[in-house]
Order: sequence, then C-alpha cells, then structure tokens
Amino acid sequence: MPTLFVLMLCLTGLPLIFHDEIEAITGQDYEAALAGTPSAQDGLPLDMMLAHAMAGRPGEVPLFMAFSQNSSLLTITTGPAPDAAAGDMTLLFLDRANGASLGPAPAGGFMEFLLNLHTDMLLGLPGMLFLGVMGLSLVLALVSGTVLYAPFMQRLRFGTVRSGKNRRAARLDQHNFLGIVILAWALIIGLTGAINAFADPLTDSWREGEMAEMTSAYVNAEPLLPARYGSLDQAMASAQQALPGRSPQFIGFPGGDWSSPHHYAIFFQGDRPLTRHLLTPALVDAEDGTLTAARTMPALNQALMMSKPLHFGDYGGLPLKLLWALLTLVMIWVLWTGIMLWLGRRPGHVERRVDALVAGAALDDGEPAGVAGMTA
Amino acid sequence: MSRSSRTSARQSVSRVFAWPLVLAAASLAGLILGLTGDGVLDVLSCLLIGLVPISIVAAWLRRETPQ
Repeated sequence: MPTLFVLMLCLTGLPLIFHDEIEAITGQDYEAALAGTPSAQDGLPLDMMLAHAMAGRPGEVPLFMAFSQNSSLLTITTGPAPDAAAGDMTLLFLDRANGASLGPAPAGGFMEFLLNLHTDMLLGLPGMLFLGVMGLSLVLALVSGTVLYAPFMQRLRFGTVRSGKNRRAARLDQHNFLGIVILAWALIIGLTGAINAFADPLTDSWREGEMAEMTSAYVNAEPLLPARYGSLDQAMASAQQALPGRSPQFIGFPGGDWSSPHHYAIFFQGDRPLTRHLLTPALVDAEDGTLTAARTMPALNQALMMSKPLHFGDYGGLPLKLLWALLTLVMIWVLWTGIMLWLGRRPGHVERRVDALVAGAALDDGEPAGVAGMTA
Repeated sequence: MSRSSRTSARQSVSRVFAWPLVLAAASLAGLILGLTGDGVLDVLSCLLIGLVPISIVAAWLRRETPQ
C-alpha cells in the first residue's frame, strides 16, 4: 500500500528538515565553527590542500573536492579507485584558512540512517526508484482526492470540520479540508521528491550524453592515471576565466560519476539567487590544466537541481523550515485519516450511509477523497 | 450539528474550489518567490505559505461542537 510508504517518507523526512540544526547541536557542524574567508573564494592553494589530505590516505585517490560558500571548510572525498562505490568513500574535512585537517566525517549516526531510509530504504538504486514511484503515487492520490473533493463539499462550506459523535464524518472533514489546503505544497513535495529519486540515472545520462559530447576529442584517450593529475589551481584558473564571477561548488575528479576519465569537472553556482542552485560545469584537462568546454546542463538536470531546495525547504531560513515541518505534520494527519477512512469502509455500512446523508454528498460510493488513488 | 456549515443550495464547482485555489496560488507563489531572492522575498514567501496553517487554525476555531 503506497500510503504506508508515503507515511514512512513523512516520518523520516520530518527530522531531516532540521538536519543542519541537529548537527550543530551534536557538534558535527564545522560550517558554524570555522569563520573566515569562504573556501569557495580564497585560501591556501588547492594543490597544497589536496596533497595534505592525500598524505593521510596512502594508496587512495581523490574523488571530489567541495567548497563552502559560508566558511573556510573544504571537503575532500577519497576512495580506493576513481570509480569507487559510495560505500568505500571517505569524506575528509579541512580548513582552507590554515590547512588544518579536521579528520574524516563521522560515519553512521542516526541522521544518516534516517537519510538512507528516506532516499532508498538502504536498498541502493532500486530502493530509490521505488520510492520515486511512491512519490508519483502521492501525486496521483492528490489529484484523485481533489477530484473527489468537489462532490463531497457541494453542500458544505469551505473549512467545515464537524466534530462530535460521528467520528467518520469528523475524519472525512479533516481529511478533505487539510488535504485541500496543503494541496499545492504536497504536490511540489511529491513531484520534487520523485525527480530527486531519479538523480543517479539523470547524472549518468548527462555524463554519457552532454559531457561525452563536450569531451569528444578525448574519446580515444586512455583514462588519466592519478599520478599524472596536474595542478588543481591552474585548472581552477582556466575554468574561472571561462566563467568569470562564478563561485565554485565542487570538483569532480577524473573517472568518477561527475567527470570524464580525463578531466577535472569544476561545477560553478549561478551568480543570482535564482540560479544559485543551478550548476554549470567547466571541464578542464586534468593533465595540462587547459579548458576543454564549459556548458550549462540539460533541462532535466537543471530541473533536478531546482527540485532539491524545493523538496528540502532549506532556502528561506528557519521560518521556512518550521513551516515545512508544520505542513509535514498536517500531511501525516491527512494520510492517517485517509488510512482510517479506508479501513472503516464497508459496503452498506450504516454509519457511512448516515454520513453521506448528513454531508449531502452526491456520490454514495463512500470512497473518501484521496484514498482512492493510494489503494489502487 | 448547527446549520451554519450547510449551504441551502448546491454550490457550483468554481465556488467549492474558490478558497482552495486562493491557498494553492499563495503557496505556489511563496514557494517560488523564496527561491528568487533573500531577505524581503524570504519573509514574503513565508507569509504566503503561512496562509495554509493560518487557514487551518481559523477552521479549527470555527469548528462545530455538538450542543
């Protein structure tokens, strides 16, 4: 029953809204601890930071380097091979202001467990795609619930919530009213969640399509070995010449999911608030540091990048996060009353008949709004 | 239950969806406005999305209790 999965997504998603705040309390928030020039702007040379990080990881190769827009925190991801699986990667924290190593990111933890449950139920890509389909089923349920809202509400004023002895009528009213007021927000959450679930295939299709085209001159080149990786600072300079005034967000190293076997892919943020979430990659030859191409990503990948903030609710400060949490609680109640209504639905049930009469509903099939799509 | 919640005649579909449409438009505008900027736009965004919980509180205060 998709409803139960959507309920699980709401329950796990609720604490995740506040993951920044929770990590700050539990002392894992280096962003707040490190003041100073943002690592995306300036600091010690990138080559020096990388050499420093790799010295502590013998036999490993660099996979990603990520910058902060708010603090001097710089993160470097390492792994046993350029195409290492996520589970074999290590995330290192460094301070670009003074070169200090802050150690690897704490692995595990309850929030990470919740995040894994929420994204793929610990089942990898199949789990992710399955939950994406659950997100789409939420969208369908919202549409069918909205269609059923009209006949149920023909003789009731907007906002009617009956209470008292008829629990079914009370639940129906709560389900209908709360469902219809959160409709737009819930549609956005369902749709953006579903888009996020297809993040991995979308990245793969970008790498194999657009990016392969950008680096077509290298199609016959051997994959570049880590020993021959050239200067990151030079690569960054070439990229920033092509995309002046942009702030870098992360670098994908050669051979990973986010680059070609021969390039540093440096991803830059847009320079306006609306485009801040949209990344533009500059592909730089990792051996000699010259720019190969810089091009915006395809529309689907841009939709994916815009859908992240819209799903997480993390773009308007704490007030927006509190609203997100409030609306999630309402959504949980809509799902719960929907399940209760569905369980209590029996053909010819007396209470249901009385209900229909009281409500003056035109339809008498008794299907509560919103439940139909979820049980199909 | 009191009579206040029932309308004497059937409402048209456009009337049934009038308030839901207003709230949906406000939420969508709020969600998108918040993405386009910081500061004033974030406040406006929260106010628009905040209409949803406000409408829930209003309905709760006006809920019918058995006499």
